[in-house]
Amino acid sequence: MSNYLDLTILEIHNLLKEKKIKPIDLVNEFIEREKHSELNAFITLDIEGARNRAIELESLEVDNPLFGIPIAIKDNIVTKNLKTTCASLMLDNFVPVYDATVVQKLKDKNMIVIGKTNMDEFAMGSTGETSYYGKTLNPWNKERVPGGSSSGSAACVSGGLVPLSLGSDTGGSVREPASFCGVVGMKPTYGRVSRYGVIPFAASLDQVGPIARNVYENALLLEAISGLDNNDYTTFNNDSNFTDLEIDGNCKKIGVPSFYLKFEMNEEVRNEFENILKLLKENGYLVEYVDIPYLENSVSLYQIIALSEASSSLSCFDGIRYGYISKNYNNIEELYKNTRTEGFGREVKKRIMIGTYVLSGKNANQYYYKALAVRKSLTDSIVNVFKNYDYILVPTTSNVAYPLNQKSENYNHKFYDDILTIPANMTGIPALSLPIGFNSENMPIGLQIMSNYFEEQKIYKLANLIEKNLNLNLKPGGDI
Amino acid sequence: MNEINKNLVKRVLGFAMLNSTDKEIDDYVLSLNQVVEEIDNIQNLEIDNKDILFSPTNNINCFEDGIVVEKIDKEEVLSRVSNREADYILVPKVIE
Repeated sequence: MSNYLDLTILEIHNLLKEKKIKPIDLVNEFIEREKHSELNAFITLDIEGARNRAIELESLEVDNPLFGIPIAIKDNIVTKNLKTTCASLMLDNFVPVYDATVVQKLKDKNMIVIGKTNMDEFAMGSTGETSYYGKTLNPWNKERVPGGSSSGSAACVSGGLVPLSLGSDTGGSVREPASFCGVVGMKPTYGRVSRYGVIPFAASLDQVGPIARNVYENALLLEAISGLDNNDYTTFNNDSNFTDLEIDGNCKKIGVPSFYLKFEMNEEVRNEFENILKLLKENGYLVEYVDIPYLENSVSLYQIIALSEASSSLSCFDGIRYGYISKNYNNIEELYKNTRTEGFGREVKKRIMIGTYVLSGKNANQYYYKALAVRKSLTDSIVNVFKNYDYILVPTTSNVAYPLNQKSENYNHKFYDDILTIPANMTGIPALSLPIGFNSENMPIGLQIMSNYFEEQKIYKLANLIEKNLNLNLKPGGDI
Repeated sequence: MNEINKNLVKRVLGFAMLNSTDKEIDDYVLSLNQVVEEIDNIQNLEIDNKDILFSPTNNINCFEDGIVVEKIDKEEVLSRVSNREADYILVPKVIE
């Protein structure tokens, strides 16, 4: 069997350009690899569509590095004529009639959409375990969670099935699985990437983000999907050249939130993080601890704002307009209630309940409006940091990927998985997770790099410097 | 702290258009109480700022004037519908 999919994007590009291989070779290699994969990373494959597209591409000029490259799309991003389920029974039979803007942009680059990836149902979860289509497994250890909610998107890149994928990030759903699976995941600035055709979880927090094996390829994919979209009024037309990774000598000040020193964290994660700080100091960076008020309130903000927006977003799933419909009803109220009760999974229903409670009656003022005010204060305090510092650095997660089926007595614990990633969603700033090492059980550890609005290129430059210095072997099963 | 009991959960289930078994209600009572305990720290938080942030970035409206354009073919949309009559989607009969 060939191993073209293990090559870098630029190496594949050169082979395609020199006509030494064809796009169909990449598709066939994917099919072979996926057949032997146990990761459950995909909900729907589009083998026939991918093969047809690959053959069509043979008559076109190889005009950009993404030409002919297979890509996997999270299953909450709509794809024309290809089932889009959000990993829920509610949308089990939903075949969209249009492409999301990000998908259209990939097709404009002549990439090949190979399939739709598994995820936590409606992007609600941080383990990949709440999917109606079963759990995704972590390529580094199949008894561990891959992280979520973009579980399949991270696992399929880490597992070598595809070089690139798209995820979505509402509270850490690209960065957390990227950290657990040892790949590079970016949550761009809110508005950098169109959300048109992305089934919303929490519209003021959601953002589509690229997942890749290395920094350069992540930057390349973000370039392809960025930009103003007349179908999404929250998008911007800012400069989107991210692949110049030459280090800027003027951006050398790093702030580390002092809050994280007090936060309970796995010792090996903390050690790897501190090794990076040491590496950066050796490379002439100034690293200082900074106080950022309201960071400790991130989980509460997420529970209030994200789940309120979710209860509103998901109110359209009622059995009338589209999606699953219960057969068991005698009147309209029974139709609504039975459809929603049968169609949504346990975690989704619980989150709808919390959001509905928070928005009901006087709670809207007590919790929701107060949370919006705290969100403003948190944003101001983070923007203030960027007056004096170029970057904020923290570990992406407080631990490595944990065992599947882990239960907790306290429901709040699962939200604490995202405490280090939520602030970037609340404020809208860009944040990237980069693999920086492994623990003693060979599970990946991630570093999160944040910068000011629309400073993605600055993030990629620092990430590239660290990546080059560490030179990690990020192939599951490979040597540490 | 607002205490969540079974009656309150049943009311919220109604607002959320959901049904639940007694066992599930017990689980909701437990989880909601735990979440409320967590989010109460927001309610009690002292902040000087009275402004709210609903969307992270300020955008200039990029929509064009209200010109209707046909982006998706009607027949293509209707081809996905399991129940249709001519150009209409048939929805379940729900009037008693």
